[in-house]
Amino acid sequence: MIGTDDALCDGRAVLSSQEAVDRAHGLDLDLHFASLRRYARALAGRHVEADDLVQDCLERAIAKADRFQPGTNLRAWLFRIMHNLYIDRVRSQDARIERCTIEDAHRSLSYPASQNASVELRKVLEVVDELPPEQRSVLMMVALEGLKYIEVAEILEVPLGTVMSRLTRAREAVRNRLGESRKEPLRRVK
Amino acid sequence: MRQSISEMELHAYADGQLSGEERLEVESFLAYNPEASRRVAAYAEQNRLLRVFFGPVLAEPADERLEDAARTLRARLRLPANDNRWLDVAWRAAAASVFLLAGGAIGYRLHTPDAEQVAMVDSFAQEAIQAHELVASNPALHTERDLRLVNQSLAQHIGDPINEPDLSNLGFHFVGARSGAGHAGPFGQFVYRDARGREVTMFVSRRGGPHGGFTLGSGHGDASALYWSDGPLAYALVGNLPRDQLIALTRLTHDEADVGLAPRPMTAPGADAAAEVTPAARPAAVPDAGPEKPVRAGASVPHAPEPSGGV
Repeated sequence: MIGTDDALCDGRAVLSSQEAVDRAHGLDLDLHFASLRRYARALAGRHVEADDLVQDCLERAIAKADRFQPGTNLRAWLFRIMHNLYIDRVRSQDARIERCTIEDAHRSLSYPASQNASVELRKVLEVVDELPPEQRSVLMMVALEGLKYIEVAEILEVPLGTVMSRLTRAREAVRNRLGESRKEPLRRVK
Repeated sequence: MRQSISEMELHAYADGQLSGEERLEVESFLAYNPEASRRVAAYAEQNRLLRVFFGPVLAEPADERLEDAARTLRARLRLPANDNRWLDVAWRAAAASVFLLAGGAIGYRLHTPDAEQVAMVDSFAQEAIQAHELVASNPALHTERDLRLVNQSLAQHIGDPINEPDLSNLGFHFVGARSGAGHAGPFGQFVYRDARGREVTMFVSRRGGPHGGFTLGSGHGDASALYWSDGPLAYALVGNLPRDQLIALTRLTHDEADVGLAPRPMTAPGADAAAEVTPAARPAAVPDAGPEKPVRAGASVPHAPEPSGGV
């Protein structure tokens, strides 16, 4: 340990390490909450359905809270609950989620994306709308929410190779639609 | 050079999930494989578009029903409420700009959600983490111990010389600094190391932003960043440390880093430390954007000082 405790005992100290860690986990929930809402919007499109999905997810998490093991991956746990709810909905007769169009998604945003981006975005989102739900969720977890591949595999309870092949298929579908003919100047790649 | 890279490495490169060394390997492969290079560029662009499009969701207030459920869940999981003084300050200040940075993905709440500003913040955080990983994996980049050269470059490109914050109270000692030019403009990087050899870096560049508060970014298992903007400058403290330590260091850095702004004597004319551009900062396989698509962040650096954030 660096001298956190000692160094902070001079009156500027506010937290013991353990307190700080506990708080940080608490703060994480805020971050996961925001992330879940965005992920839901990307899956469900319309504001109301997306927030319903989040609401159901939180309620199920509350019901299962006793089974959550402290110190394990809270984000993966929440995303797994969300994913299962999403798949249930898609498979149910009530296929509202699948029929959500890009216009719905666009209208649902408080601040529509800038005009410049909208042509490319439209194409991307059109393809996303047509993706099988399994591919769509993998793409959104990785591309939008930045989850690690191994985390996604854990969430979906599938092998890592399955995650990768879904990801490749989703991304290639989008890439084909955007087309390479326009010779897009290459951007920064991380 | 590797003759092939795996499908997973290709994706991981586009998603910013590789370490500095792995990234360099993939880059050297991509330099000779234009098709693979096009793929990763397309994937990274897809990421960017999706985040620009869906990012504003994070700025939308959740309705009371959802907030209630979140509060209940917090209680059921026995997670503490956010009522601590310092964290509270940081976190409330960041409440409008809370970030979850997970590798490439950044969630955000902005006062004024705007795609360009989102892209700017996105790029700043990523660049700070990349720069950290690069230095952490390349001790040779440790740089000008003599701050004069760095500060000369900073003064030239950023507009202020930066005094290195003193983090020795927390066991981290200054070991060097460098300046450079990244995708989004010139930056300064200050490297610290503790007795166990762990490193943190402070990354600074001239970047106004709509977010005045602190922003926490969790890297993909490795480095995490806390970053904030203060006046015309944006700072990030990056390290592979437990979060509470990073928070403590950031607090100290922030206190120290009313940075700046006592100028150091400047001598040694002629040296331009900004000439050092690392391969990772500018991948060989990925040329800069063409004229019809200017590079996205930092191309136009706002010079008007922002009001400093509420901390």
